[in-house]
Amino acid sequence: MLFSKIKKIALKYIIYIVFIVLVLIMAFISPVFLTTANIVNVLLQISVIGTVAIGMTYVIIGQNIDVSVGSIVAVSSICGVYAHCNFNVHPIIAILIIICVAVLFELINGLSVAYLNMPSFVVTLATMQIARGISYSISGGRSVYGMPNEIYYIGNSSVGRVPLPIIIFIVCAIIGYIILSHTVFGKKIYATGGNREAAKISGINVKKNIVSTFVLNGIFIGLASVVLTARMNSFYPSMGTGYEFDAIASVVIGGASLLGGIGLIQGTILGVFILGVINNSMNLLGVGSFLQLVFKGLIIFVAVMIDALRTRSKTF
Amino acid sequence: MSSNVIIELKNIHKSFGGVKALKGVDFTLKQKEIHAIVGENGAGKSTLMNIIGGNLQPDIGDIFLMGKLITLSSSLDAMNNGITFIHQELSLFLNMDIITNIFIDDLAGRKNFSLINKKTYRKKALDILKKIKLDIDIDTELSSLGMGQRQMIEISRVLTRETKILVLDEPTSSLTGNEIKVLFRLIRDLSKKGVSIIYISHKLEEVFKIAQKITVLKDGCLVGTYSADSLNHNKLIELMIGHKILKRFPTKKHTIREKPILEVFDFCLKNKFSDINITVKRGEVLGITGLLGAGKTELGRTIFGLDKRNRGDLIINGKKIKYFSPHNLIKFGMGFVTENRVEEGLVNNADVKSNMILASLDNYRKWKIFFNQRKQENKVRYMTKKMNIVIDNIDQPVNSLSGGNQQKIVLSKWILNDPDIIILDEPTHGIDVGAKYEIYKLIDDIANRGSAIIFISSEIPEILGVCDRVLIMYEGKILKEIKTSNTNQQELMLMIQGQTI
Repeated sequence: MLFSKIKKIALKYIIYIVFIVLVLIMAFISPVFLTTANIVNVLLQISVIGTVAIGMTYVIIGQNIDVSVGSIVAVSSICGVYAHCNFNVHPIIAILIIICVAVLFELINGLSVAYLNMPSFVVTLATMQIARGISYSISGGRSVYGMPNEIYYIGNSSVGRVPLPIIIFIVCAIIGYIILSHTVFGKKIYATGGNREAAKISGINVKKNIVSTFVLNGIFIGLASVVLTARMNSFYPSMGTGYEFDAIASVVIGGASLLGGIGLIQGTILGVFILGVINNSMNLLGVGSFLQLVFKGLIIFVAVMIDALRTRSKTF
Repeated sequence: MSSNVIIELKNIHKSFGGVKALKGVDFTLKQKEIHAIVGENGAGKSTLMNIIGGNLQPDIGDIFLMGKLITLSSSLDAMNNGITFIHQELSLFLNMDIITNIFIDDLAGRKNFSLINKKTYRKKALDILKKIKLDIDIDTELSSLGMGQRQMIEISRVLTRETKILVLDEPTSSLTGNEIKVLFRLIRDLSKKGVSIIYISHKLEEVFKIAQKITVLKDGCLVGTYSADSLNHNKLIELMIGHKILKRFPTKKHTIREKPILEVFDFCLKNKFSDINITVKRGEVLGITGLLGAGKTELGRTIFGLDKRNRGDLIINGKKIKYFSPHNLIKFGMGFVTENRVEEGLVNNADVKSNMILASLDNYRKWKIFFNQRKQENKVRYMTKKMNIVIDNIDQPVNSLSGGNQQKIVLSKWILNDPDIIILDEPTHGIDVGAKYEIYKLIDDIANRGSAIIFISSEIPEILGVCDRVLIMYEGKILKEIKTSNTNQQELMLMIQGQTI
């Protein structure tokens, strides 16, 4: 009785526990870990991927998945950079182009999933290739430099001691949280992902909502792409590679269910932090980059296992 | 102990967490006996049956099979002891044909690389289909069969294996009158051959028709075991709910107004129904009845815009409807309670409060986009009290509630939207007696407020008890329209079979 209760509570708060334990251990064994420089470093690393993960949360709660996010970061970046370098458009226009291209790609994803009834995994697998291919074609597979100072500042200036990318990430997280947890639209996403048929019968425009989750995802991807482009002050061919993995992983670690209807932005943010701290820890401890992949894979495995345990403990 | 007792359960206790589901229940089943188990939802029927079926193990208590003390540690264990359990949720393979589905146990027991002798299987399968009077090609894929036919296939699996005890959990919930007759004949045949049958059902008429013995459970305790001849319908209900009930149906308070609110002209959905014309007035409860497959569910779904009609017009409050989607029809004041509460009516992993406001979400906006949580909680608390919904708190997930409470939540969802027309499809399906009465009362209340109700049901008594007027559907056409005060149960029974009177 008592044991099962403890087990239930432990399962519910496990990501918080894991995060705290992780930080404590690292604080103990690495003198660098809790220094301001390192904390800022971790936050900078997670700010881009974190923004992408916020968008992914909506898609996953809506019972879909998106593996094209990384490629869309790249293709929207090159479009903005290319427009600026070749047609000398105003930096603000370049930023808008980046965001619009990301939204356009996600709109195509969303429309295909909602109105053509195509499975989201396959649709986004296809757009992942298309987007990556377009980014290579435009850039010729090379890095493209020459962004103006205004954009460089977005990625490299600070407010007080806090770098701007971190502030942008925090603002995105707050907006993302409000949309999901405090708007009527958010409630509709949960209903759509929780039981599509019941949502439809309740008068919710299910198809429109699914498209909306993808479009929202596109906006966050666009913002992430702007920040990344600014930080690197360029487009580079491998931009965004593997982001889909980190974003989906963060959402799942954060307690969302891949079956839809369950998940929170707060959870996703914590998931992003856990992944970020683990990455940072492995670097500080000198774990080789090949072995890092193994560990990251294992973490996802454990996260999904916990999710399975949690749902099982609910039904029995 | 007399020799023809096949299974005996003594002093069975079982708890889930802190909840005691069974508190010292005894149960005896004799050979060839058809023994019904009845009780309200939560009385412990399913727990007891799952213990016999090996899915659950008792905390305290003994099970004797033919006088020998045994433990049933799994459903496979029970099966090997000759106990077959047919669940309410079917365990069929929709992607395979009938013949494979019937013999799946036999196939599963074989070595992986043994060859399948299709000829003998075919012959056996044809015999079985003949026995259950199902006239379908045995190579048909199961997904193309209706629910009733699927149920029959599931039951027919019993014929392929050595069975001493057959447990049937709500076997008729998706069967039509004729299919039920065939099923009952099959049950009696099996009993003559020496099989003992445990029959669980909410439909008391059926229990009296088929059972010899009736065991009544209430709140996890045994009320008693009676011979079916010694009871009647009302007495059985009294035993089940523990006190006298006055009536099965509330007195009608609603009055029909003059103004028609919903008019359906020449509705047609290919292969399902055609030439449907309906007029419903404010304050009226219109029943639609018919056999399974008569098209009544499809008609309800089509009027609500869930299935796309091929032809026909719909006029609500004098306005002609242009766009047929639930989204749009809800704006015109329509509501729809589906027959399939769990799969289509509720978001199961979500809590009571989210489910209850699902259809009226847009009323909870604050400054256009934000969600007004306080308003939600107040409304939900008010509704829970008004509808007499038994829950611990409004954050409880709906899948932890009984069928009756779930259905009340679905109804509340629509009432909160203040609809002019509600279509109810089998709203009392799988709900216990007490909750049924409350739902009938609610229907009367809604009509009394001036809304119109379309009540789709295959249970004739409730059509007569609740509706003002009834449409009898047969093979996709409206066979007859009649005032419920001008007809009776026998007449309606004949009419749904397609006979005009």
